[in-house]
Amino acid sequence: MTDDKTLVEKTLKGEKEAFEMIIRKYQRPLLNYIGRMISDYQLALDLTQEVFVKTYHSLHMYQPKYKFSTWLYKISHNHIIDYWRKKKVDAFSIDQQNHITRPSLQIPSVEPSVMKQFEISEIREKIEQVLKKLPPSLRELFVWRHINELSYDEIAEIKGLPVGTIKNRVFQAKEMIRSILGEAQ
Amino acid sequence: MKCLRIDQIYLYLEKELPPDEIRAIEAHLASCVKCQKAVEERRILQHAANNLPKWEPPPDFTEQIMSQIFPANLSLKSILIAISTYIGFLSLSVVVYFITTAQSFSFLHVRLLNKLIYSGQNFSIFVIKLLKLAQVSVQVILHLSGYFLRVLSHLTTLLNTETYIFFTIFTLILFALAFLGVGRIFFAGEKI
Ligand SMILES: [Zn+2]
Repeated sequence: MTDDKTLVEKTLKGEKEAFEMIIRKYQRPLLNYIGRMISDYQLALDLTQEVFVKTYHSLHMYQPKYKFSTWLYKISHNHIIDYWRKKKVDAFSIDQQNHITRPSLQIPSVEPSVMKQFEISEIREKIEQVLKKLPPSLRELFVWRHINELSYDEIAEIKGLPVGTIKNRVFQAKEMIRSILGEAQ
Repeated sequence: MKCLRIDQIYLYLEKELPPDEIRAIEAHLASCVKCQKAVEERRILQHAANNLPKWEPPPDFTEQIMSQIFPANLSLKSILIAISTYIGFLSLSVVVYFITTAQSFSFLHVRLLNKLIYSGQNFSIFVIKLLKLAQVSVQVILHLSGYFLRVLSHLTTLLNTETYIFFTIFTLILFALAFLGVGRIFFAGEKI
């Protein structure tokens, strides 16, 4: 399979088919990322489409020193923020982490067993619901890690943050999901 | 080793730790029920999180995006659609014309034949005229169709195929209405 950077070069030389391959490769990951961020399938299709149009028109600005996929996620991230801004949703919360309290790193002495009582399919359904309640910044990291299956290094490159910080926030997101699931008991 | 930290548990489950740290963790887990429970709890969550259902785009999603980035060129298909719409509307308007004006087709034939053949000229002149007419109309059609296609291909870079078919049909309806003499139909009592 042709790698992304070659596909970009070919697209810039006017080969439409090369960009079509890029779309085929990334439409599912981007739809899933954007979809989980805005919780609306139809709208996610529209935004995904817009991201590809935007990407095509700014392809000449792509710097090959970065991974193409990382660049694509950055464009998608900015597009979601633009969308929220237009909708007057608090768009900035996705880039601000201050309001997230640091959870304790220690296992509490008495820890309720939240997960054991559910079937795996039930847990998946509950995670989908709880995901909507997470602060956008944590939700985004969770989606990148577990739905898009990005490595911590890739996420760190997208966010421009140290890998350690990203790892901590992803585990915060999961602990938050656990505690929201526990509260619902 | 002390009890595990929560971040350590997640990194252990994700196999993101160096081998010696993994060995230390496993040694501790063998003897600590509290940590075993904590790991088990997060193992289930981790497994569910890694297996969330994926959203599927519609089957023609790539084509939709491509057509938005690269507006369709005039394809053979769209030309055929346009031509068949034209022919369809022309014949429809002819039929409607004859129905609304209560004229019959046979009447038209007779009139045309009268004009062309029996108008005092002999048959050979009629044939020559017919050939001349055919030659001129071929030239006109070639000239016009070239122009027509250039305009269309220019239009289709601005409009998508649907919009352009819509405009074609709209023009044809106007044409058909004019052809029928809509005014006359509305003024009741006036003789057609
Ligand atoms: Zn322990």
